[in-house]
Amino acid sequence: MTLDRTATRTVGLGLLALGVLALVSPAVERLLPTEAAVEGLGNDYLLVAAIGALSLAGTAGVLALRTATGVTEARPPAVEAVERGTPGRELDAALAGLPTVRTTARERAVHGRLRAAAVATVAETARCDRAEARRRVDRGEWTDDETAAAFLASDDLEPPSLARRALSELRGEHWFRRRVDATVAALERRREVRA
Amino acid sequence: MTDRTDTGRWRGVVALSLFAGTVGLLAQRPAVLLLAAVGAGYAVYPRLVPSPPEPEIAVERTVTPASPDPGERAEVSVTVRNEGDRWLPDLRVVDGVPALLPVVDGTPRRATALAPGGETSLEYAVEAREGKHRFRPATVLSRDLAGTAEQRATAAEPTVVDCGASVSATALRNLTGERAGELRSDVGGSGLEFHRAREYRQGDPMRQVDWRRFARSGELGTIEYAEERSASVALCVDVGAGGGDRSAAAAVARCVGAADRIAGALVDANHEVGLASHGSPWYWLPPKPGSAHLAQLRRALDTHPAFVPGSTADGDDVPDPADGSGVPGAETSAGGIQSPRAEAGTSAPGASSGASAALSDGGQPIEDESSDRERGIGTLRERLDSTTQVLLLSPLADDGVVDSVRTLEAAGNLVTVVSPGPGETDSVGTRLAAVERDARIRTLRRTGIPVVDWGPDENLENAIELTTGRSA
Repeated sequence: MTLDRTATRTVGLGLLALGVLALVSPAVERLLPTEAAVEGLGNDYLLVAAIGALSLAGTAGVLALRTATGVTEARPPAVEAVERGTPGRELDAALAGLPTVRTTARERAVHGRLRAAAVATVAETARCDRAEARRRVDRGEWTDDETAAAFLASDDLEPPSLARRALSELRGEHWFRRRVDATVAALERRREVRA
Repeated sequence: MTDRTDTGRWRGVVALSLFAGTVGLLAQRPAVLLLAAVGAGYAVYPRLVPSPPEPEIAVERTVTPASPDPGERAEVSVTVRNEGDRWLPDLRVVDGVPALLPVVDGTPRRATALAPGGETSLEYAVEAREGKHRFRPATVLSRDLAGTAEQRATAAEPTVVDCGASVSATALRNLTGERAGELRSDVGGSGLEFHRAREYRQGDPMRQVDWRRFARSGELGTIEYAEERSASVALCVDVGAGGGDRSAAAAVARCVGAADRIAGALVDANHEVGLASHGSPWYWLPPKPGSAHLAQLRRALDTHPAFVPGSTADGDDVPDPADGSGVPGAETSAGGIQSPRAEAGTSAPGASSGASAALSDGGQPIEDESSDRERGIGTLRERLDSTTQVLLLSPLADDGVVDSVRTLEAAGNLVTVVSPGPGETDSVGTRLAAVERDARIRTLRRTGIPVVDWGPDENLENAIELTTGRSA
């Protein structure tokens, strides 16, 4: 980049010096094949127009470069923004922008996390071992909320039919987010009762 | 360390100049052709001005009050001085406000020109929040007069806002009073707390004679007080998984602040206090008594990368300690960082300085954070004396912490957990995290480990006393 710029600058300055010398020195002017070029092209306007066309090409090139690179100025950090460093924000980020059709690894991970939380909560609140707690979660006996119970009834995430997902999207809520919300609320209720 | 960048601000002027020249030629208009000369002048101008000097900036920062109460306003005054011998025609400074403190008045930004030796000040106010909050290095942008090139640099001035109430040694004794091997021994002697009453024996000190009993019944008795022995406590701060993990930054700031205050209370009571980080980077300072050791411990909390949640391997957001303390190579055999991945029993003195050495593999990013934490707790267990108690300060944001507590307890080290609660439960994610944390607290308590559930806006000493009351 620096080499290209230096070469262009050298050529440009050389041509400028030649032009100035041609103006002040007839000897230098005679060295330039101006008249031969005019005769070859037909008239002197076409010679100037050819230089203009070259200049126009240069303009287009510079504009394209300017558009592509833009101005690269450092952006000072936004230090006034207060960080919200609270556990769980990463889950909120994971729940943002979920695809409607596909079921991703992110969703499966969140489902697994919720199931583990439910098993731990049931084991503690029902004073039973984890195997029994898992059975109760499988059977959906841990909550009155049907959505939460069905959501965690299996180790594997079972998404609803495509039609149901589309319907949920039309209602303005993602099916997975709605189920996560219902499940977390059910877990909270269960812990409150125990407390 | 600066980065030079060409801004490309004047690149469009060349296009305008060429366009004017082209139109002038093709339309045979000399006046328009002359306009190209104006553009050419602008295109040449950035080449004529001197390149931006590398900014040699000194930053001085004062915070008033230095230890505000939560919610109190703290005034920050920053003086920026040009220590170089060249003009800085276009200087932009942005102070490194702590990530968790909101700016409530003024602005932490300033754009100015500075002569050699010249200085400028900026003043603003932040609202204090519980915990230790470290200022990040100030960002400095220096441009030449034409704005063609720009130098970016950082200027560090280690400043810490320590916000929170102190903790008394009595509260700590109450916290661990339910368990054997705590600060108060079970041996009767010349302490302060009542231990038992017994028959008088010849030679007992007069001040321990139960005169009330003598007045009541005419019998001599002796009151024994619980003898207080010096205990050894390692404060272990859970700093998260490292590698940019700032998911519990607010809780970690509270943990670091609490560690400072608890360390002060323990040293005041003549106990030995050590410091460790649980997570990455790893840090270890062996327990010792005395105010000089306390000063070293506090310096580590204030300046070491281990105690900034999410600090990166290159430690870019962390100023180096002013005196080099807590940095490998600067530490004596008294302590410092020892990488969990180092050979067993070897320490890191002599390693390269800087935050990177705090990480395993000489600053390489940690690929497996969970195993790294396990290695860290394993190394800590090796370092701990069997009589050393561990006071773990943790937001309990993952199950790995519970496993770490079990590992330490299995090794014979008594563990007490102080856990700052979530400040916000305003979303499904934070609500689930609160449920999970609650489950972890109950799991630990079921196994007999005291856990102080330290709620937001709650005084730490009150939280400790509440835990003591529950377990009593």
